[in-house]
Amino acid sequence: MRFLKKYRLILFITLGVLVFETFYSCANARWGTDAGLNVTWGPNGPRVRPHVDFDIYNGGRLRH
Amino acid sequence: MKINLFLTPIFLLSFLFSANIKLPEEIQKTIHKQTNSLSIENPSSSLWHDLITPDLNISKEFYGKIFNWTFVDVNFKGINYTTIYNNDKVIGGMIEIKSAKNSTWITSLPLSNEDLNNRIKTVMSNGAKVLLPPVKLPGRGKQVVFEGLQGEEFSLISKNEYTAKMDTSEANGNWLGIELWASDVENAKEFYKNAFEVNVEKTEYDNKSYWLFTLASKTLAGMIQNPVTNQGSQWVPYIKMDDPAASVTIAKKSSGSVLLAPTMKIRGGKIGIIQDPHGAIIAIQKK
Repeated sequence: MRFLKKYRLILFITLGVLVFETFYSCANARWGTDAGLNVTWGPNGPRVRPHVDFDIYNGGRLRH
Repeated sequence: MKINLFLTPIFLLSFLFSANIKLPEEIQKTIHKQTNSLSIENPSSSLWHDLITPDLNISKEFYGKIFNWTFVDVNFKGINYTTIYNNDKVIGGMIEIKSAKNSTWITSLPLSNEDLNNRIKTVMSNGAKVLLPPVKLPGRGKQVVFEGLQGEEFSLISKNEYTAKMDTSEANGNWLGIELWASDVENAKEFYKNAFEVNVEKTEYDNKSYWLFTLASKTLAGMIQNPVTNQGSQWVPYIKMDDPAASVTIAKKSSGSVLLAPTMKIRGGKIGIIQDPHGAIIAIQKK
């Protein structure tokens, strides 16, 4: 009985360490690049999605 | 006598150069014009466009659906290349480079062989890097791809059978022109002024600046402050379509990304901006 209790304690601690490690390693993980950019999944894997600032954009004036 | 006739001008020129004697300004201008000036009949519409893509089939399917382009594959000694047709008229090409991480549209200025050689030297002397050294392709002549001072890519190409046949009308699916999205506008102005001897005219629309690259009072290209906050400078081609909203919807359904869906708030809904499945940016605009 005492042996089973000990076993349960070891299992509990092991699971606790695993959960802690999982959360710790994911603490800085994000769906994006290190710079916080959006990533699009294309045919050749992930690529950075350009962010267009439409307060700056003033294009398409070539024939107007 | 013959030798004297041949040697005299050489000695004379050597003397002028060694003595650092400046030729009269008018003569200098004439020499410069004869050797290095751009001679483009219809600048804004005579540019050639190639898509560099890691997968030709995916790109052909994508652009075929959006713009109704058709393609004719051309065998260039192991290079997978296709010519783009709009309404059965040639307008550009696509080159497959399997190792390329992204796709990108490269705009080329077609020049005569002599002008091309002179222009390569001028562009390089102004600081552009050669990305693809001059290559000769059957039927296409010589092509050299450069990286400008801010990382934007452009190319020079020999006038060839394709550029000669190019449809430059304003039909749906044809090119409207190109725009440089420049992170450093002043730096880009200086570079293109010196490398191509174009005039750069500043205009203003909606309280925002817009620059035109002109040559002999004809528009060659436009320039805006780079609106992309997480990418460097790049040349962006514009395609004419009567219904940009419909084109953008098709792009989205065909694995493309929509950067701007036409909205009345921006240019009265005339413009859509998309990214193809491999990342190349292209703008769609109605007149």
